[in-house]
Amino acid sequence: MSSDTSFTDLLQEQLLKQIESGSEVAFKEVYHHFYKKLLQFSFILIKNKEAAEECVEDVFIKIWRNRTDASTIKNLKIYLYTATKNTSLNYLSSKANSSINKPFDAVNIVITDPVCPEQLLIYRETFEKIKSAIETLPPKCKMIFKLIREDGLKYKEVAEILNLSPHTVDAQMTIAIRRIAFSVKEELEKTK
Amino acid sequence: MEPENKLWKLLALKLSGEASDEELSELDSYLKSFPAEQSAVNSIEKYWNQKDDLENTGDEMEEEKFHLILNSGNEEEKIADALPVKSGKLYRYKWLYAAASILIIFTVGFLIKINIHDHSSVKTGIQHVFVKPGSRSQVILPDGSVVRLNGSSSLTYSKDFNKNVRDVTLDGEAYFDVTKDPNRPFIVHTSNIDIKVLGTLFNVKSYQQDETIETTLLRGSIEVYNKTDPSAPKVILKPNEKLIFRKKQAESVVPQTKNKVDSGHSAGSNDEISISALSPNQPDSLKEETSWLYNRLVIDDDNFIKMAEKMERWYGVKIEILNPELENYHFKGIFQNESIEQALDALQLTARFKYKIANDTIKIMK
Repeated sequence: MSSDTSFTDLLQEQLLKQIESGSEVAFKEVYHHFYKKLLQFSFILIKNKEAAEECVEDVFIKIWRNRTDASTIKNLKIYLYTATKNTSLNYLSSKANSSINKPFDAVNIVITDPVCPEQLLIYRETFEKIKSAIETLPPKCKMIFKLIREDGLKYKEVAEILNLSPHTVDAQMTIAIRRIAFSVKEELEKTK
Repeated sequence: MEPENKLWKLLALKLSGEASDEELSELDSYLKSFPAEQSAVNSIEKYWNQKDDLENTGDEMEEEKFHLILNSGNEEEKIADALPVKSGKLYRYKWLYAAASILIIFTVGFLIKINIHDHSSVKTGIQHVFVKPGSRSQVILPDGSVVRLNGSSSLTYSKDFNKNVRDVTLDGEAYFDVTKDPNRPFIVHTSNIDIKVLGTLFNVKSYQQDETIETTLLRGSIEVYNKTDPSAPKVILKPNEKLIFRKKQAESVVPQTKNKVDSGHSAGSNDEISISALSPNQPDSLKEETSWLYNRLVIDDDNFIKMAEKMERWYGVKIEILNPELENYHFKGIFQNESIEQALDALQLTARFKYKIANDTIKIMK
């Protein structure tokens, strides 16, 4: 189950229409839904909290400023992530003044640590194992895993945002799950 | 692909919500042929489906930033290559100045005075939230639904909330952001109507002393049932429609079709329920139904009695109109940051009356 089932395409469309007619409530809803996710996404790319905040702000300011054209956005989710990626990469290239070909290779992707007290007790060790398995995934694989699990994006959406083929996303997700499964099995063997 | 790899591929698809029915049953049969993998699969599913804290909003910084963005987005000038963080304060103050500026347009007119009488009983329950006059509050229900309560409003729900049906009882005005759950409908009970929803955004105004109950749908869909007449068909509301239920004329219910104007002529029926469309181009902050969420009190062609009631709830005061003649005055306008004195002074610019404030009671006279 993805964590993002509540934000359907239909809802996005409705919200965009409302934003177009100037609804602050609709804009606020979109903002709160995506702000933290986009902030983390931008932070992964540029590793600077203040700069990441600026980038995400710019993305939202742009939407609000151009709200009368809001309904021309086809897919809000992909638009937001792509705009955040572009703004962040622009920031980096303006900073570094050098082209960045593989933005994920040198970055530290922080995986959100879920907190669930009851389950934590029973599954703590297994979950720790899973977490460290995720931590050691290759950067691209980890980024894909994070966007799909934590941000609830679809394979197709991740592919579009990261400029990959859906097949690559599928393959990377299989690698991620297989690696996690192996580490879990190791843990289970130990407790037997 | 090796069969084992296929298993992990299918599991990844399932977790991501990408798997088709065929792939799901394929996964099941794979698991049957690899029973040793079952517990690993269970652990991964458990881990995947944990709720993250990420979903929780309400961060103060995030909220503050939002206003900054709104304001910057409202300005015409171009963004100078990415907002410098330090200028954030400046922007914020600008926004405050803009918000503080008073916005009043008033007109005075005459119309028939409306009597207010009707009393409905308030049900008792385990959880009872009451918001006193003059303040506004927010409640988060056990299912995660958010209810924002306007002044002089109470919300009641039982400890069984969340079991099969999510029942709440409202007296007053509230804005509901209901968490989706198709298996457990969310029902708002008011004195005369029940509103059934599955997951949506809407406003309900049902003060005991008001002669009407109003519900405005912002998103999704809601069903409205007449409690006094269970045989009456339910009314389904579409987004940006507002339903008004008149309590005075009870008995038979014939839901009027969208057109409010031609109501009241069909044989024997009365317009107990009417539906009207909200103006689509008006921002929520200016609509009377949602303005309170933005701390704005909207007076929309109300007579003095109705306006006084609104002001009583808004400012938490008592208003007595000593001169009946004044009751027929009509007003239009928006209050935002004014004190009650400033508001009354502004009203005096358009209508001739005097007022006296003693403790929490305001006397209005000619």
